[in-house]
Amino acid sequence: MEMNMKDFMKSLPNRTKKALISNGAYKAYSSIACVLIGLLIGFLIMVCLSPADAFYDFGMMITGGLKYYELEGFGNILATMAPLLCCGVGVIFAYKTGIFNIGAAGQYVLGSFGALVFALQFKQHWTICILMAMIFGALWACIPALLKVFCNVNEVISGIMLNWIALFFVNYSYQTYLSDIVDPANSFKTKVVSAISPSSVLPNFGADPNVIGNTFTCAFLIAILIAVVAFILMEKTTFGYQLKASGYNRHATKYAGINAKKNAIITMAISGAIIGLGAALYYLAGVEEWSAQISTSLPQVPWNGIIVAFIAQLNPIGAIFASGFLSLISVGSTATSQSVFPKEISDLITAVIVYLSGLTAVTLRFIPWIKAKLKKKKEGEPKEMALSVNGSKGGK
Amino acid sequence: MENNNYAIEMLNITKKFGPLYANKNVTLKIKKGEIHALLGENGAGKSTIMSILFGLYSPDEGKIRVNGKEVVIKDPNVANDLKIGMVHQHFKLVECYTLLENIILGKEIAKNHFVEDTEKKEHAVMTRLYIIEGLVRFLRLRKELTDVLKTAISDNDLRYILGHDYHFTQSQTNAILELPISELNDFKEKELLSEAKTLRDQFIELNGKKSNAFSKAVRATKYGFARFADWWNKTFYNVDLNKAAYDITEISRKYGLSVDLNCVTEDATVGMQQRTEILKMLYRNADILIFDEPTAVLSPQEIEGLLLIMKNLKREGKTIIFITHKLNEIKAVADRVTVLRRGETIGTYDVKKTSVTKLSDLMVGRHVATTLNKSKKKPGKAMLKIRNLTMFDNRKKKNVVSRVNFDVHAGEIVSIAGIDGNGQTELIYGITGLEKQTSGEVKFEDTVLKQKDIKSRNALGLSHIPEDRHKHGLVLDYDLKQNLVLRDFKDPRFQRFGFINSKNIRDNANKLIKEHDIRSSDGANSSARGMSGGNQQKAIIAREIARKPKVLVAVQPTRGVDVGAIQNIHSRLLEEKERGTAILLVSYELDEVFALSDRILVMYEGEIVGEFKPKDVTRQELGLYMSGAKRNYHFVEGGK
Repeated sequence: MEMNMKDFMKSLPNRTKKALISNGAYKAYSSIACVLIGLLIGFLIMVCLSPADAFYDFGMMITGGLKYYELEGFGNILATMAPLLCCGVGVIFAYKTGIFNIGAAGQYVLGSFGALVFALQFKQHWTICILMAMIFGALWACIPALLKVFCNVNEVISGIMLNWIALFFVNYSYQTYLSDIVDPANSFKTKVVSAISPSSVLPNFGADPNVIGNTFTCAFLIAILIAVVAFILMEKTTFGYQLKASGYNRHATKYAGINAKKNAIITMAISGAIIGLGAALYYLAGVEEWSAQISTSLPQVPWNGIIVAFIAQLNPIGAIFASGFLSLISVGSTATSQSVFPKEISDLITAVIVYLSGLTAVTLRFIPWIKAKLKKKKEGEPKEMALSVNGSKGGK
Repeated sequence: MENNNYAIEMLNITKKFGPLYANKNVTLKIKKGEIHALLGENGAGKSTIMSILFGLYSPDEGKIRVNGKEVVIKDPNVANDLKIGMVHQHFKLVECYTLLENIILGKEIAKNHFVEDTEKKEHAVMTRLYIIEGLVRFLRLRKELTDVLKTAISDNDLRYILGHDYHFTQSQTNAILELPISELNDFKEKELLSEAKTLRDQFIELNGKKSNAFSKAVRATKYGFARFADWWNKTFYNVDLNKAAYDITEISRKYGLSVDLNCVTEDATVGMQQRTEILKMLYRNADILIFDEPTAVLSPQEIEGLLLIMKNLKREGKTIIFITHKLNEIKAVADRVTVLRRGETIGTYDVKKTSVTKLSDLMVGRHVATTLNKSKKKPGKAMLKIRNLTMFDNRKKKNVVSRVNFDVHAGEIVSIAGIDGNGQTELIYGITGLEKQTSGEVKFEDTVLKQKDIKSRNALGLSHIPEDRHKHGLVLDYDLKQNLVLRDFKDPRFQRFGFINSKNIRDNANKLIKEHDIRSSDGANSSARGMSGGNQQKAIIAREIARKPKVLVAVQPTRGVDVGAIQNIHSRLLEEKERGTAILLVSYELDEVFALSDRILVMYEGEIVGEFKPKDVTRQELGLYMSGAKRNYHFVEGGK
């Protein structure tokens, strides 16, 4: 078996081989390992809760999103993945510059506000709604950035504060100035976008809602496009070069003549815009309506976006897979037997994974050690081979 | 018996960091009462072997014997117990403490007189109180038993019961037993109670007089937590500074270590801080003293002072290990020298019988010729003009650079000599734009730089080899090729419409790697963090020179770099000079200043105090200016 593996490795072209042992690949391996261990721990918890159902429901959680709900589930997964991915990419973008955008939730709230107001109140086309969501998110993200750059206020603190300010401002607006677009009959949720302004709903290419679910839209394409653009911006442009440099070593960027202050503000604006876009993709697809009454909790998606960022090891492309995985198990967890396993089990698993991915920095440190071990083994091997050859000769 | 001649024997020590040998089979034998120099280039393993001796690292293989006894030094505390002390290259002093406090830190003497008196009084009060309490109970008990049992139980029996059944302490029982029985009848309960009350008040008063911390310690001692009390004493106790100051003054007189004990550390000169470190070791009765490159930070005068101190220490019977790469210092004080090269022992030599050239050869393994600035070319026009440049430091609340004037001409190397921390760093910050200048003017050719940000200074042709390569010079998480375009990533060669041209960046890197002999594990792709200091520095210099600058500011370009790389860097700078670049060099190494400069400016306390041609001045003379003993600088517009 081992030999087969070796032959297989040998048969690969050089480029692939190089890619498989690159740093990026190691990051991916450690992420995957974290995900697997997280799943294992989740499974063990399920076994503890109810051994009899654990096997079936664990399988359900993983594949249920696709199997149980069929295509509708797939549509659902894509619809929930899109905003998650945007939030993840937004957080990654800021993080690369050394800013922890924990104010993602606030930017998300403002983004949703922008999208919904222009959809429900002004009945604009979906492109304009998305644009407004991005502008709202960007402007909101600029506040902690400006405070950080000019007043040296820690972005984590101001970000968290601004989350709540955003939430209460938005809910207050819905209940007072914008009471037309909320539905008192439906516990003050915003009215359904598709009913009020069909042109504001994201297009779904004429797919049949009965087959693929009524939340399926082009949102996932937009999100993936954003992730790819963010990746290119970060890795292939001088702008990204500057951003990452200031994230790694701000003294050196100053020395290099990079205006780190300007960059910090631009980054945060972009990060906020992407997160605002995520909100638009969520609410314009009609996954859910904004509830203006439950004003004590911030929306969950942007927080999960932070989780996506860390599982993806701060790589936008990785975020595509991470957000897909999180959507998969969160949709799948609704297919488990709810009486035995609450759907929070998927949250629990993601929490475990996040904790483990926090440890990847540690696991990555082991790689040189493992490499050295492997090398030693290899050095040892030929001797043994030589001996056995001698032995066989002797046998003859 | 032979063992007794040696204070320290380190036998066949091997220490590996990953695949690298920091020390390979190193053997070091140090005789009692000698000054033993440890000579080697940067990275030869001097610091590692000393760290092993001091317990900072544990060796992979090998034995250590101290005074003939085999020991395992697992941490610096063990080293301290073995009376081994170390003066680190970077002093480990608490900046906001006085020098005295720094010396006694961790070895404070408790202030005794007052507390002892109080404790005695307290003890007397307590004993009396116990006795009275005992007596009161005793009398009560007797009263209760009066009629029925008086005849049956004697007073002695009662006393026994008190001691045994009422859990009185031994001293209480004894005290009661000692009282004459006839006296017992005379005690009146009320009187006793009132006395007990006053005693209690007294006790509380006495207790309050002492610090809270101490009373806790006393209580702890009483309850038998002696170790805890000891710790408490050390941690929270009032320190007897006078006693310590007296002891330390004695020591400093003995060895000629003059320090102002009440000086706050951050205000003390480097030399004084170093003497403080030495006193710290002596105060702890260290017999074996390790000096880790002690002269690197000192002015020539201070160095002489230090060497004298080392001789004094030797005379008083201390053993000294002296790590250095300065040969003349070894020649001046050391008895024997052990040479290390690439982690291996080359040999131990008698200093008197070995010539400086021989030692130098042993150290580097090949002959090093100093690169000298022999060019006869006349300098061109003034490229960099500094006029009345002043930099104010908000933290120190003073001008760290004040009214500095000088010119640097094309094709000229101007060095700023001086001891670290005399405003050189800030001067360079002001010129390169890393910090805003407070007042004055910096002119680049004819452009006033005051309003220019770093980017436009770069564009004008100002290159800067920064003092701290990890802080400013490199993004350590970027790979080599990315670091090589750190200043020029916006150049059209490396980008188009903001998109990075990775092929050109790679080609540029490969070109510079080849030209400058930058060695790394993975060529252009190797991470900057993983490169050795010398190669990191070469990379920075390659990058700065490749920009074809008009003015090159080089600060400590050879700091922490091995001899081979130093030579390489020096010849690069001289090539640049030949090309017509105006070079401003800041260096704390006089050798380097003499080897490279056309003109030497000396900086002291933020001011230029002297200007010399290298051939017209001696090191001693320069040292006088560097340490502020002499000053003579009048700036003349347009040069002399």
